[in-house]
Amino acid sequence: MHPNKLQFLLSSSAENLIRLVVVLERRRSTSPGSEYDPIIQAMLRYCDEYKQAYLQHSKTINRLLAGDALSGPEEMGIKVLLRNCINTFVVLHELLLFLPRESIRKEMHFFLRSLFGEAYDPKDLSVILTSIYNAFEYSLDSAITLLDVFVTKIPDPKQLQFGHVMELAIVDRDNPLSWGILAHEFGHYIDQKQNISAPLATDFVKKKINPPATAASNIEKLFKNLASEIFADITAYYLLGPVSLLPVVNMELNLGMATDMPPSFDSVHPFTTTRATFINDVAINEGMSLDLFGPFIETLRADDQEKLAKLDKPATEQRLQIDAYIRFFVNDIMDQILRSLGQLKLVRFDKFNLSIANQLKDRLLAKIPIGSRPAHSIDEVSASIAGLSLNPSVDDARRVFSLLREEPALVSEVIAAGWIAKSQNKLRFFREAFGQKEEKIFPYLQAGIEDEDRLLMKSVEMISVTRD
Amino acid sequence: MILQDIEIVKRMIDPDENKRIVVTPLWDPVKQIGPSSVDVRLGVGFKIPVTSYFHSIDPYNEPSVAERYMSLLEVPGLEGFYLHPGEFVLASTLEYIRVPHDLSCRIEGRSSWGRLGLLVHATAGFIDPGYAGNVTFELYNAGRLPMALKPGLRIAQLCFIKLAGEPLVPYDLRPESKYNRVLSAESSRIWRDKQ
Repeated sequence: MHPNKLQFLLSSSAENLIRLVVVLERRRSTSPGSEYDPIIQAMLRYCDEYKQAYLQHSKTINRLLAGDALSGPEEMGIKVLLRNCINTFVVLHELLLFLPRESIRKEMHFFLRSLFGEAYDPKDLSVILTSIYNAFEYSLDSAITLLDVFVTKIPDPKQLQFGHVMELAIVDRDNPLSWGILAHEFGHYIDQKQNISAPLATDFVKKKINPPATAASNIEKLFKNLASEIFADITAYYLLGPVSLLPVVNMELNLGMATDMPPSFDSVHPFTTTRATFINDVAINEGMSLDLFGPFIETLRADDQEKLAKLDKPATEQRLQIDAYIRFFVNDIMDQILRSLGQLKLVRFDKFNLSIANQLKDRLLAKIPIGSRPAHSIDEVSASIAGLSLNPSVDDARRVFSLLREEPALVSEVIAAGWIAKSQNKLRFFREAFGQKEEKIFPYLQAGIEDEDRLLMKSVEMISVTRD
Repeated sequence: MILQDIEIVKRMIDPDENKRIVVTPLWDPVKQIGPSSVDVRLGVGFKIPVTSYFHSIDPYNEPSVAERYMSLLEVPGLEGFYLHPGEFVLASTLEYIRVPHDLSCRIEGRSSWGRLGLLVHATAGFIDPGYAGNVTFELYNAGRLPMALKPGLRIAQLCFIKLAGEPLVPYDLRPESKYNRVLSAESSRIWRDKQ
């Protein structure tokens, strides 16, 4: 296994464990003695068992994170730990369905309103269902049908093919980095309302494929599904830049830990590596790229390559063929999608925003909220002070003061800065954590993860006061 | 010695980050920087006392009560929060601040708000050298009419005081510090104090 990949997956898995514990502990502390206590405590017991498992492996993990080569049995031990964790966590996340909902954060509405402007109408919303491991969007009608709210039998969590209404509110409520997925999901809503991607698919099938009449309907349906996902990806990219794909990559990596085989084609979503490729292509055209998020993308590609190597020749060829076809389709419809988005008058994220995000990242790593950024550099202000006479006039003094003005950042810049910081800092942070004494490892991890969330949330909150 | 405006400005851009005063966001420095202070704004979250569940505060025997008796209420951007006469709530500055090791800081109300009866701290207006985070307001309406408070209002000011020398153990390095790097209105953690 690619050594960086194992380091990366391990730190992601530990982060997911911490996030689950934080949610459960918050539920317990806000309603102590409630009827949900036994469920929460049982779930926390599972989490504790996994904490212990991590601690049992802490020396090996420490060596792995330091870049040491592991022996075969050691590597196998870590892989088994990861596999067990993901399987348990997915079930525990599904079980959160049984706990009472928490209200979603107002910052989340602000985030969507900032991105979509007038197109975001909280009175006319689709239902967006997400968790750390998946995300879906439904119209309210189909959500009610799927959720089957009037049934009396308890659903089997393993059979649920969808996320949970506002589960984000409970699982990743406080993690603004996860909100990027909402831009993709809300893109579906815009697409359905404006009927943008379906005609593109119909046109493509008619002109470029021209299938026999017997297969035409199924092929058109397949391409409509694909077009819908591609449109949502491009919408999220349009609003957030290359960072838009990171929540998807994160989900893919998290779920991918559960299997040695590459994901099969679900006839709806392009492979995540394909999505990364076409997002990167359009980003490069616009002077940006996914390179800033190196560890996430490298791990995704390494994981995919290792898994592809396990396929037999026909399966590999089939995968490559699907991949090539999707990319051909993307190339055909990309310009039309971008033109449609342009007509919606959304605020486009461009390379200037990415350069701002890169600057904000430095402040974030210094643990300062990034709801604003200096309008002038320190050098400019220094030069202006140096230029003051011994007894400056009131106007001159105030002119110097004015140079300290900060401008509100955009929410999209904050989210991008957060992901850039996370990409650069994630492994170092986990190395530090596992370098602690055993009893301090998880408190250290939890404090760091909560700190990151709080700084980003505070940043969004600051912006909301300026821009509301 | 209290820093005057130009010294505050110089400290805000000090090339030595350990000496630098941080107050962010600083949207309107011309309005916010006074002769010897920097105005700060009201943030979004309020913590209001919920008394129904508790008969008293006895922080050492029931440590969680001190935290649980203040309940978080978030006020969206332009909506108001009405502080009624005699009411006490916690809130925080919108601004994140960082006080260098060789300075201390005081938070004080602004005179115009004070004349309406708004107190911004009950008794704890002193900020130690090394503190970083948002500053918690202890808001009290000493007037006779309810007061509409909105996030973003400039209700207080910070003044910075030069110390005779750097303390040996500043707030950020002191293990007993309970509120460093707090980013919102924070309930009392008095139960952490060992008497």
